[in-house]
Amino acid sequence: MKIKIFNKILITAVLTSFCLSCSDFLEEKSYNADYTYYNTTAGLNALVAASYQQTRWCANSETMYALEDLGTDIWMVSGDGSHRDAFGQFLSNAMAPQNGLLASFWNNNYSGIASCNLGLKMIESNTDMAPATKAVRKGELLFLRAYYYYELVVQFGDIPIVTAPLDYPKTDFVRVPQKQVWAQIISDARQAWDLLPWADVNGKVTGDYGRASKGSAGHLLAKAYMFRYCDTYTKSQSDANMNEDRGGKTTDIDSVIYFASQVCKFGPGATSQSNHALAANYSTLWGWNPKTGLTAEYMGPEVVFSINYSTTMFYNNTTATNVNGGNQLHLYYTGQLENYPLTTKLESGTSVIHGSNVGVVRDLITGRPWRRVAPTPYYYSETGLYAAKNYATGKLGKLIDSRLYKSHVWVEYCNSANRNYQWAAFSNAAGSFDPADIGMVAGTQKYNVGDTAMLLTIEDVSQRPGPGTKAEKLALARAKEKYWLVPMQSVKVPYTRAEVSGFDVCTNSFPPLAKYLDNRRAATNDQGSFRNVMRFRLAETYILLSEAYARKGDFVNAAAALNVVRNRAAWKEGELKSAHFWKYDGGSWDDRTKSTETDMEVTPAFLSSFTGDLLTDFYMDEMAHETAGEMNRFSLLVRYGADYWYNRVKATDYWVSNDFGSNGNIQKYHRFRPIPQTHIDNVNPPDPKPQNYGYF
Amino acid sequence: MKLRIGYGITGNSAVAPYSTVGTITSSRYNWDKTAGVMGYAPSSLSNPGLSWEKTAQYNGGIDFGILKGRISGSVDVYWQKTSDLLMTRSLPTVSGFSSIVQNVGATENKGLEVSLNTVNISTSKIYWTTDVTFSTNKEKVSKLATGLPQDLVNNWFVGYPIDTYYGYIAYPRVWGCSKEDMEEMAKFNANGTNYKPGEIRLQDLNGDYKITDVDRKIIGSRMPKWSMSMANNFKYGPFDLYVFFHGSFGQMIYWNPGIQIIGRYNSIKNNYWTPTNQNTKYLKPQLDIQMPSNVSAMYYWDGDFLKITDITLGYTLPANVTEKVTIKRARVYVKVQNPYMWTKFEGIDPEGALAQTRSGGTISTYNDAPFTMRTYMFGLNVTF
Repeated sequence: MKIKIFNKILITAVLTSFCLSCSDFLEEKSYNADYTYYNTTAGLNALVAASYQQTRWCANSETMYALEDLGTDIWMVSGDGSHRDAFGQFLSNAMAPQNGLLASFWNNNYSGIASCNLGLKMIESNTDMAPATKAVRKGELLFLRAYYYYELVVQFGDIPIVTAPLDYPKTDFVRVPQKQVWAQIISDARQAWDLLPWADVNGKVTGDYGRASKGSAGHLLAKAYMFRYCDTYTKSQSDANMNEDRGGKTTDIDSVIYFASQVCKFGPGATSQSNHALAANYSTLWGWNPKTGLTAEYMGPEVVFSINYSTTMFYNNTTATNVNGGNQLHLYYTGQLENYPLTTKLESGTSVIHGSNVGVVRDLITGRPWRRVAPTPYYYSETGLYAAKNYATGKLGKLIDSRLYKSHVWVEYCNSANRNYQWAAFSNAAGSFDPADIGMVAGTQKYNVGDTAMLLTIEDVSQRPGPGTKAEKLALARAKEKYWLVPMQSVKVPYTRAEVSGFDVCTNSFPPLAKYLDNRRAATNDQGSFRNVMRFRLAETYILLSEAYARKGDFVNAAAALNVVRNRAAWKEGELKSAHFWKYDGGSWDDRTKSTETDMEVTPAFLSSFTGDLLTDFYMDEMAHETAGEMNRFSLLVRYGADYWYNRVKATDYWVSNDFGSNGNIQKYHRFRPIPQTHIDNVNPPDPKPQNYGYF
Repeated sequence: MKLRIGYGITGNSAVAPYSTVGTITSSRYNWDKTAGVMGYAPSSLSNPGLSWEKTAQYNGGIDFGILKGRISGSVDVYWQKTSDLLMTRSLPTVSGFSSIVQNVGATENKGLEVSLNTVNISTSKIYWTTDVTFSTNKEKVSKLATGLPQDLVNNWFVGYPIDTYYGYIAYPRVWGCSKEDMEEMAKFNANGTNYKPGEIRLQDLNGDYKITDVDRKIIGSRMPKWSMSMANNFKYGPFDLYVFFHGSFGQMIYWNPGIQIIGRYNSIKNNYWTPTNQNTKYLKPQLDIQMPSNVSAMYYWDGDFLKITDITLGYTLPANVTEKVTIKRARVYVKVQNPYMWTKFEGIDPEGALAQTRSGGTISTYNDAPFTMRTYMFGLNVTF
């Protein structure tokens, strides 16, 4: 009896499972296997979403920081990373057609372009999607195609153009002159501008945050027109081989003004429905508190085009459990401060040992210091980036421009009870110090867990009055402080690769960039963070607008546009400045909460005082104040041609200019990157002019 | 004596479904900070021109036995001609795709397989047999669909095997400080390179003092030219001995032994260059360069090997002793597996190297993962 019942159960079970699998089989859809899926609304939306994927290349791994920031005037070789050979030092055997990063960049962008090309074809024949949505999706694809070509043409110059999907293995690609690429970019972005709506007050297009909007297209157009306009400078370079004809038109500068003012909704004739506006405080953009971490990720109206990352790792197009799959930029701009040895190395070679443990260890807040790029000495110098010449009132940027302090982390808090740094009497050729003079007891710890353990400043202690060498003054200055002091212009500037990764050198231990830090990662060593990348930001649009007015000679509007950015960059009345202001930078204690808005303002007369390259220098400095580390530096500098880029980088970044015993570092021809050898080898019949000038 | 002759044509349609239409793959993105959307991107080019791969094969063989079976064996020859060969071929990525499965051309395979079994000694006391096999295969690309004699990206060359290595060739010595070397280096450096003593020295085939893409040439192939094995069985009274050899010859291995010493990762202990240790095969250690360019020119190794894979020595206990404890037969033996290998390869095992994979023009470097182990065994066979 029992057996019989069991048999019946078994039969039922078998039948049930058969029926289940049967219905599964019947419901299987083949649509997510081939291109026919794109004939449906869902399929087309899926293709458009996938076409954004290649924008993430810049943050997924060690990529764009090298192409855009490493080896520029403001970022140089740092303590680690394999891209330093090619992009930080321009070594001829690394900045070569075999360079793997350039091949990866090339492949990525052409893969994005192919996705857009297919979408633009499928959208024409798709009858399932509502026409209004179709228009927006088409605009997005055109924007993305223009975006991918923009990135390529800036780096490589002449490149092949493909504007339709292929249905056979084509191999006869020929590079076309860059002016054709610019014409293509502008044509695509103009159509996108017409098709796309403004992002709504929440930054959304068709209900989604991160889709390209009219603002994204307008910003890209302003950048592209400005790049093309600059061929007024690039057509006559000192080496004629580096002359660039970008197909510039006399109306280009007006186009920059038109599109930038529509996006900013600023200036005469700006009648747009743009919802974009600057964040009230520059700090809000980065939302970073050095003690507690991320306060809030900014996704407000200043964002003009965002590259998105999800807190659900699976949607970062990786496996759900891959802790290294998101935005990795937080690793690259972070200096090594953990376990800083408490010693000062004197010129004689001997070291002053101040203590045995700084008490700062790696955690989610201090971050993982991969240190791939470091600020150049130009970044900190009083005659450099924040020089008085950049401000109409002639004051130093460190005293009035909050962006220097708000862009970086300048303080580390003690997070390890093992700290051992005690007050001690100190004396050397620079002077002497007795803790009792400031009421401290020798032999007691200077700080406890939670207190300030390290303070980074830009100071050059050799400027302090009195006798002694720079290192002696540094040792004395450190002994006097109740935390470990790292004045960036006082620590060693390394000239060999063996030295760049040591502590107490400016290439390795520097104030981390606050812009990408993210403590939402589950573990300290997880490489993937979840921050979006604000690829286009309204402050940049304003600076472009200001520059375009200045190039036209309209300094009134140039000043007005720039002052919107300058006003936001100023310290506000009642806002407490960074302690550096009164302790190290020469500001007075009484002014610690005074507004610097007036000091930061530019006047038409001030802007018009810059002529020729000086005006370009001014705007390049301003872009650096506002957007340092936002992966746009190379593009900005080469906009004015090989000579401008070469001279500026050579003057500011000693790693690309000095040869340290080798020959053949930075050359004017490096303004264009070498075309990847894998491309050249694959093209058949061979391209008659396969490679950029200077490379072989 | 037997004679065998055969001919046949086989087809191969090893192509993923939907390849002719163009396949798609998931590519997730997000609008929502905490969630995301399923995106689908094209993963292959639509390829309406795909067709079957056809292989025609002729083969013939002889089985023989002479001297009353003291010498027996077989000889087999074959000749394969494959047309419309289906292969993954790399494409310019400007097309949006890095490769495509395509009918890329035609190949030819000619081969010979010989096996020989001999009874060398057969007496009541001594018995010795030897089994030898020998095989050789010659593969070559006979035609490429492009009509060209070579395809540099996929490393296909008419007249050479599909798995051919092509690239720069390194001298067996790095640049040194001798007067000759310094003068030669100066000539290269005048053209914009920055060679220094202790760095890799590449052959400048056309003598223009620039290392350009025309200085690459065909280096070798992953495929062995011939392989052999030999098994010997000896019996002498109660003792038995088994010895097995096998080897492959003529193949090349692409392997990075950790040539670059950059002060960061572990690497093999090699005889590296220093100012006081000139004329070395290996580069100077350097912190300045993380990855010396073209160092892969030093990754090509002669992969010939001959191995003794098995030696077994046995002793069968006399039956009159074992039968007393009702055991029919008892044999004790010692066995050594992989006791010895002859090879010039400096890695652990050249045999595993044959398992390297390749996709399009990219050949993965052989890693020292699958190596064979030497095993000592002691055993007892008992039959009741």
